[in-house]
Amino acid sequence: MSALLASLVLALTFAPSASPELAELFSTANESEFSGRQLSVTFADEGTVTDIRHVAQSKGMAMAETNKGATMAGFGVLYDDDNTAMASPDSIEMVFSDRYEVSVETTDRGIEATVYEGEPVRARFVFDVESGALAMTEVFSEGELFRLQMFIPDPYVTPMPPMGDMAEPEMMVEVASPRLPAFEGYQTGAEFEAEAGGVHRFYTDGLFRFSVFVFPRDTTISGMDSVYDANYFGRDGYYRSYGPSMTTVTWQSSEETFIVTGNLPPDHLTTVVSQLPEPEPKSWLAKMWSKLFG
Amino acid sequence: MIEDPTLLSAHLDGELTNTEANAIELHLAACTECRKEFDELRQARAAVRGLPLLNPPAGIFEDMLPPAEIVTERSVRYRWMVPVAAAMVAVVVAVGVITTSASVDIPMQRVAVQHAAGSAAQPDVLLISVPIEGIAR
Repeated sequence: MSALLASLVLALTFAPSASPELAELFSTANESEFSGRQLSVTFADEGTVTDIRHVAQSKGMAMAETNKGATMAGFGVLYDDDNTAMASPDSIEMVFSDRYEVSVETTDRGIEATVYEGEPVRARFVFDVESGALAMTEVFSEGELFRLQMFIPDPYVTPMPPMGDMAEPEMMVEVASPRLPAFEGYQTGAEFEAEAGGVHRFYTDGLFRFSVFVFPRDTTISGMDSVYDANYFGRDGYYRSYGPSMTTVTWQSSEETFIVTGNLPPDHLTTVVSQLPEPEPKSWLAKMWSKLFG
Repeated sequence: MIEDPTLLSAHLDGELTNTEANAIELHLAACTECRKEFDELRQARAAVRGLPLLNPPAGIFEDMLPPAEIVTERSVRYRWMVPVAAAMVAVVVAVGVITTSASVDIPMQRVAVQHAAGSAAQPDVLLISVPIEGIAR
């Protein structure tokens, strides 16, 4: 194993966590081996988005696959099926935000870890008692079920490709002068270069995680599925897309193109978006063009 | 209620992608207001298409044209400038639209991979969640 991967494995072993019960359940889940389908249902304002994809995990590697492509992750590296790999040299000390409280109990569904944010339930994880694998995830927003993910196991385990066949990862490059903000309640680390002169920063509160990308103004993002016009605080100009575990919002301010992508529930996402520059109002010509030609 | 009502018309004309059309149908199944509007659009379209085609009476176009003008050399010189000016305005508008639209395109897949790489580096992350969020396709 290369020195790089060895250092990443070391980081994974000794990093602390402030939510020991949930961390232990995640750790056991990470050691389990399984193959199957993950069914995801997102209850969005624009409608219900469903997805089903093949997932597998074995020997420290996990894979997700659709008919359009696959990605794998393990030992700190993310592999894309066009034989590219990417890794971050930065790991954030995993501090579970103190706005959450976790209670764990064993029920007839399995080992249930319920995460409260104040009084309402924010998320619930159900782990299989025997294997420790994650069987179900529920995420709530303002008391309503926002996302449901369920695992349907296969009777066999898909073998992972040998590590020796994997591409060497491209290391993310840290920028000298970070300019993306911090968000209250979220930990963040270094800021990195992104495509075409953009920048990227990763954030997590121990439960949810998201990234902010900022690109030059003359940038478009292609390949987003099911994109809807959205508005925040009465301002339009945002575009929102729901995936099986991710919500992505993109917009252009007067100077830059922004992307916020992650597994944030809608109320958290609204808070994050509100702290970034607003979209540039459409000119009358752009509005007329949109009306005529869509 | 659908935020962009033009989508209903586009759906009726078969101009949406399969994904967009499915999303519209799901919404229409749940929203009686939009369903009513969609049905009215469909009826209006059918009514227009059902109108008989008529042949215009002879001479109608000639009656609509202005009387012939005495064309002087000076008016001819200025007259060719009008369509050229209109074309230039159209070019300015088109260029304005093109230059304000993108000159660099980034695939969302690349963005998803970089985000997921950030997740992959985090200790205590639930491993199976990482490759799932790495797929934007």
